[in-house]
Amino acid sequence: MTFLSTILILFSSVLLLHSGFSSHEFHQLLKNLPQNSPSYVNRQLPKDIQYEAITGIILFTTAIFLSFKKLTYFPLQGPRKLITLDQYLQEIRMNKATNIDNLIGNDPYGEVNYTPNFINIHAKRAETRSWLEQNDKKEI
Amino acid sequence: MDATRGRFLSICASKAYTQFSPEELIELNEGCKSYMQLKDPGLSQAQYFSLMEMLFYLAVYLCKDVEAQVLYNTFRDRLGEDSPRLYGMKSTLLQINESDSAAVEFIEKLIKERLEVDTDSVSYLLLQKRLISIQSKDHDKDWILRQLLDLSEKFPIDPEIWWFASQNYFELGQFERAAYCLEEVVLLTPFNFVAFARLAEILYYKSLRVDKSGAKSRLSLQNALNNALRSVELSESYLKGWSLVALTSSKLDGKGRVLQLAKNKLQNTANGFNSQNKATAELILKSI
Amino acid sequence: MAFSMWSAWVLITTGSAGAVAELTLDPKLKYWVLLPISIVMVLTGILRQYIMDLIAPSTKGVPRVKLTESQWIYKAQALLTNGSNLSAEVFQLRKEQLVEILADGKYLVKLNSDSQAPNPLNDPNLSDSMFSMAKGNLASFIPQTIIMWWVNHFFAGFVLMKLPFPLTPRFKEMLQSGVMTADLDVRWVSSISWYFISVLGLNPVYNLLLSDTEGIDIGVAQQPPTMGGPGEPQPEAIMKSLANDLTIAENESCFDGIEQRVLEKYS
Repeated sequence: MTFLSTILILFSSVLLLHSGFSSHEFHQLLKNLPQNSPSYVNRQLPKDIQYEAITGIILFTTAIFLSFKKLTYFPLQGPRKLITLDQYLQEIRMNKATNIDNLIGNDPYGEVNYTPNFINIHAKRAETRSWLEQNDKKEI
Repeated sequence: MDATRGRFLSICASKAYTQFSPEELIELNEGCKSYMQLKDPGLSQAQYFSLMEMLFYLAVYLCKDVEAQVLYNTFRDRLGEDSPRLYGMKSTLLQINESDSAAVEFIEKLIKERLEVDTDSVSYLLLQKRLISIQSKDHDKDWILRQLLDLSEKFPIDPEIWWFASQNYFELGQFERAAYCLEEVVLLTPFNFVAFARLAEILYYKSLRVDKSGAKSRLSLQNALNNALRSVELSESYLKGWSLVALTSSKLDGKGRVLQLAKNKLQNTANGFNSQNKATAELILKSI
Repeated sequence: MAFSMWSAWVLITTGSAGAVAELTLDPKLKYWVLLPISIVMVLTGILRQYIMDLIAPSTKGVPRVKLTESQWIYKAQALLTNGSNLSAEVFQLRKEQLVEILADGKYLVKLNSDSQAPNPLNDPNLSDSMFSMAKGNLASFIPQTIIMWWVNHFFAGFVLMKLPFPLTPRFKEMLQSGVMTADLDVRWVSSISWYFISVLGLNPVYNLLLSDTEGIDIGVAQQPPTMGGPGEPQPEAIMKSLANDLTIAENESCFDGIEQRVLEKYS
């Protein structure tokens, strides 16, 4: 997918640059014509240059869209399994956008809801210490 | 890479690591360290610093005191000592390296001499919170609650104080007061669907334990149902919200359609990805 | 180098009076005038940004009581905007409490009563903010003056380019300053006007170039504006008016018809 989009981006950029250069050349030629000659009076960009530019733009936009990857997530806790919802862009509406949070077990308001500033550090440390001791015993 | 970064940043932003079990803490600490050695170019400097801060607290929780001290020194050298988060870290370090009383002394001195007359919007509040949490082990819940309410009078728009107060009231069994505190939280963080679900939970307990039965109990149940519904209105797949919708609507008359909807949603969750949520959803479906 | 440009002067090739005068410009003008001016403008803009960062005032502390005062005002605003999250009776209860607190001015900062009318020139806060404002202005004026002098000295009198859109003759003075031709079409633009155009139009470019300069948020907490600065309404007045707003506020609870809403949304 990304390979295709890189190729397309390169190709369409060449198209765009080339059409731009052609248009520049065309105008340079026009300047050297006398002002009352018929081709100066109805001057218009040649059709092939116009088509080239339009194709270039369309291809470029498609390539950019193709370069998007599907959004992937890891759950915050538990086994590390890559989760994907087959979506390229995130949801806008709140009730849908939070689905991801629920899926990976994230609380977007955790800074309030987990009361992180009121954590009792000694209890936390005691907990890990006893866990570590137990595990060491098991290993022995 | 994006997914890994997203995971660490979510854990860091939501402070979920404060709730992790020791095993998860160790895993997170190692994972985050090796991730930061990769020098991911997509990580902005601000994000880098917040991850570092998380590593500091992880080191503290895991009793790696030297590592914590080294991290704190890095911060101090980069950013100077005078900022709220560094005050927080310093008080934590004092707690583990010296004693609680040293930390209390440090905070009280700082507040009295400096912050009472010259504070930014975070430092004073943050240090007061830390002070309460350090001192709480010598006092009972009434004392903590008094302190919290005093603090909330000084800083009326901080939701964390209210949440903690509600937690304490809940543990004391004063459901009405706990609900009042949570209502403050949803006033200050209007889209906090977790808080709505928690409010519903508390009201549900209130109807079971305090009101027992009769009209008053039905009113509480109805309130609980409303809050649970609001929570799932804000977040479509919130398991706790739907569980509470199912629980409360099964106890009320004439809510058949809501109950059916909640059951469907729970069934969806039970068929979903998240294994933990799966088990919970199945359990609740069985119990109704 | 640039001095050789003096010889490369514009040529008026055709055009009788009244018809569109067509000029042929030396293409070297593009490389030796247009580009240097643009590059110098962008670089000075970036440099100015960094200087501004360096001399920016550090976040200023306020007394805690002041913070409390403004937070109560925010609280009232929060109740007004998010009151719909509560049921009617709960909202009523809070409303009454808050109206009482605000109307009494319970958390107002007590000013020293002996100085009834504080002299605005002696107020340290005010002079501080004026000083930082002056510094900011200086940082933007000095480079501008220097560059304008530079452009005027080296590039005076060049006609640089033709704007792709027609303009009224009024713009002649601004866009063709330094070009002493009375009846040149307004669309031809001199170098000093290119300078003006860059001054006004380069902001998006700076935004693009300097977009990654988000403040490091671990050290510097963003500070909500505190109430009652010079020229703003005083907190007491705000509290009174908020109290009035609250008394007449109607509560539209989100719980009205929530069952119906959820059922429609998800089934």
